[in-house]
This record gives sequence, C-alpha cells and structure tokens, in this order.
Amino acid sequence: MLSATNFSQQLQFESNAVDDSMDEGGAAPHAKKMMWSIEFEKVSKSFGSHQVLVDLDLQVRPGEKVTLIGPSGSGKTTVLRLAMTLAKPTRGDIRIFGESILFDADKKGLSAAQESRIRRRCGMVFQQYNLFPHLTVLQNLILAPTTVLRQSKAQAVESAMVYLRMVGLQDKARSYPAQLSGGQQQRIAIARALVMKPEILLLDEITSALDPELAGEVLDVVRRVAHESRVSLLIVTHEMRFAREVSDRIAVFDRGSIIEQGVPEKIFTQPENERTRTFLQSVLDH
Amino acid sequence: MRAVLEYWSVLAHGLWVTVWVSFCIIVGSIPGAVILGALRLSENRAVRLTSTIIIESIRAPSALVLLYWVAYALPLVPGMPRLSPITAAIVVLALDGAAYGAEIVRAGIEAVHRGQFDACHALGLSKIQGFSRVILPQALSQIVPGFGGLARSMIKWTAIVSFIGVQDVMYVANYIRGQTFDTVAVFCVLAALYWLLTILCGVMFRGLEQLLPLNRALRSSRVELNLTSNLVSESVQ
Repeated sequence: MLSATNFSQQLQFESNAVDDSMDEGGAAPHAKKMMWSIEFEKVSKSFGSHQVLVDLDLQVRPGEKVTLIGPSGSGKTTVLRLAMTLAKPTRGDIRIFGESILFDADKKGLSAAQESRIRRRCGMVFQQYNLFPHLTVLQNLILAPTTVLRQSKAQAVESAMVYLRMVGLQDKARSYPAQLSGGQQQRIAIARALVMKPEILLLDEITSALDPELAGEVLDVVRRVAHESRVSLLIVTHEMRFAREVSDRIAVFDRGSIIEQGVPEKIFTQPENERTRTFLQSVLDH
Repeated sequence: MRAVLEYWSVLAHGLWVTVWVSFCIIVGSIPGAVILGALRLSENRAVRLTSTIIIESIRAPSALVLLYWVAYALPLVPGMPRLSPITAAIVVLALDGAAYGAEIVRAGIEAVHRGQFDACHALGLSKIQGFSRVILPQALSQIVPGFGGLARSMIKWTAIVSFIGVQDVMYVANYIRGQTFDTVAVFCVLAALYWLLTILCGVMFRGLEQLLPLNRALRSSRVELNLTSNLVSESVQ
C-alpha cells in the first residue's frame, strides 16, 4: 500500500535524459547530442490570416522547468496546445523525446495509435480545470488509468489516492467537482494529470481563474511537483514571483516569437530586450 | 358514451397497437439518432455531408408520403421486400424520429464545453472512449429533455399509420364512429387517450432525466449547498 509520504517516489518519473548539463542561458552548446524532452523546430501556426507563432525554436531538457511569459495573445498557450496535439502547426516539426508528433520516419502523418503513444508522455492542466463534472473526484482520477493504461480498478484507485493525498484532498474522493472550490478543482486537475505519470507536464495559466488565496494553494502543489519530481514542466503563467521561484529557464514571448530567454535571475534583473523590460515593468507594477 | 363502452375491447386493442408502435419507433429511433447526430459532427467533411444528406432526405418529405412510399411503392421496385403495414409504419416513423433526434443529439454534443474534449485528448482517451465515457454522459442532460419532447410528438405521429391499414387507436376510433355515429364521444375519448399517453411519456422521460450522471452530480451538489446554507442560518440564529 502506498502512503502519503512516498508520493515523492511516485513523482520520480522515468526520464530519457542523456545529459543534464546545460549552460545558464538555457541554450545548451551541445544541443545536437541532447535528447530533448520536447523540441519545437521552426514551428509556425496561423489561424486564417492571423499568424500566432513565427518560426519558433524551443527546446526543453528532461526534468527542466521552463516558464513562458509575455503579453496576452503572444502565442504562449498555442505552444502548449501544439505540444499536446490539440492543434497542428502550419509549418515546422515538434518532437517529444526525439519522436515527431506529426510525422513518421517516412514523413507521412502518424496513425491515431502512434500519436496516442507519443502524446501519452505529455499531460496538461488547463486554465478552466476541465474536470469531468458527471464523475466524482476519484472517478476523474481513475478514468484514464483504467481505460488508457489498462490498470485494474484497485491499482488505479490506490495510485489515485496517493495523488489525492499529495494535493491534500483525499477526503474529497467521493465529492463531485461542483462541490469543490476553484482551487480544489485545480489541485484535482493537477492530480488527474500526474496520475498518468507524464514525463512532460504542460500548465496553462492554471491560476488565472482563481482569486489570490486559492491561487496560492494551487501554486504550492506545483512548487512541490517542481521540486520533488523529474517531470519536465512547461508553464504559462502571469504569476511572476512563482515563475521566478520554480523555473530553471524563462522564455519571453512577443508576437509569436521568443524575444529573450534565460535563467529567471537574468530575465528579471537584467533583461536585454526592451520589450521584455516594458512587459515586466507593466506586470510587476500591478 | 354507450358506444365507447360497447366497443371498449376493440378500443383497448387499438390502444395496445398504438402503445406498441410508439414504443418501437421511440426506442428504434435512438441508435439512429445517436449515430447520425455524432456523424454530423465528424471532422471528415464527406462523412458530415453524407449524414446531413441522409437526415434532410428523411426530414424533408411528409411522413405520410414516406409511409405510402414504403407501404405501396417499395414493393413495386424489383428486389425490394413487401413489408407488413405495421413493419412499414415502424420503419418509416423510427427513421423519421432518428432524423429529428439526430439534430437533438448534435445540439446536445455541441453544448458540452470544448474543454471537456481537450481534457479527454490530454488524458490520452481515444475519440470513442472520450465520446462514450465523457461527452455522451454529459450531452445526455441536454439530449434527454429534447428527446422527451420528440417522443411525445412521435406518439402523436402514430395516428397516420391508420392510413395504411394498421389497426391502431385512431383506426379503431374511426371504425367505432362509423358503426355508432357517436362522433363527439368517440373523438373525446380518443383525444383523452392520446393526452394520457403523451403525459405518461413525459413523466417517464422526466424520471429518466433524474438518473442521468450529470444531473445526479449537480443534484448532489445542490443538496450539499442547501445543507450548508441551512447550517449557516441555524448557527446565525
């Protein structure tokens, strides 16, 4: 039986890391040899005539925590949706642990089974929680493990309870999402993503719909995941203090491109780009 | 009224035929409605177009014309079967119900929040798993009330089956009227029977709504909210 105290071990996900070394700016000098957990190569995305991403190059190391910041509409959420195959890029390629999520070796489109196998390595938590309202908390957590991973119900329940304890909501297992506060729902959503043991976790403005008090309890859970697991985190947030605290690297987006990236200390204290300075000033002033 | 009492057994038989035909067409239309409704939302344009054409082809002509066509014209087409009047009636009205029901199903699925589809995808559920375990159970909360209204209409549609010789309650009522000339009493009883059937159907569908997973979840939340507010008001007093 797993206990609350050993959830840290649960979070020690297998990683395909081949090299953990990287320079401070986040751009590894030996990038060619690196097996990135996720890699965007010259990715562009348009919605009609509106170009959301322009030739984006972004790599995340296994276990690395990368936060995407920037003004609304700059393409941050689109990056996460593309990584989760919720949208397809107009141009370019995206690879998860070296495997394209778009094409097979012959440059043909992937079958549903191939795509499903690759995207299973990613998990995503949404701004609006997106819990299944007709299922109890426990049912929300065991649905994917039992149907996708084909775990037995007992095994899935045991694992789900570990994650519920981790987010401090083990007493809400039989509650429905509508009976929970926004913060509790978001913590359940994080547990639901983690129970699938993803190697990459995508967090899309997970506190935007919450008041500051509830946002705090959600961020505490993410801090814990960030510090105690080897899962790669790709975070979109407007919580600058949180971004500074948990990130290994921060990428600043503007008009569909990364205008600057580096370790949090450098981005927040010595930004090189004028637009980064303007953005941070406007955010930190509020 | 004496006429009705005198012919009550004939009337009861007609009522039974109406209930049987109604049951068959309502139940028979459900799979067709779910399949056509889901196909209307397919990402594949050809599938979407085909299902739209099928739905519109069934909905466009009068149900009575379709009924005559299947009962009288179809057997004249080489290789086509001759259906009994009651089979022809059930086939035509179930198809008609499926075509109308498909739009209710489509609207119900579209009413499910887009984020639910995204969450299914993010958890690795296949389209079929996501549809059957997450989307449809939620969509049913929208579909069942709409389908309840359609089912009540479908009971009333059954009156046209008398035109091809099915001895339903309408057919029998006409027969009794012809025998007794007690037009007012016979048609009053007929109207009351249809009223009773549609009301019973409405009650059954409302009962069914209570069993739906999303409604059950929301009811539990409301009960807890009421208990909490009662406790708060008691502690204030």
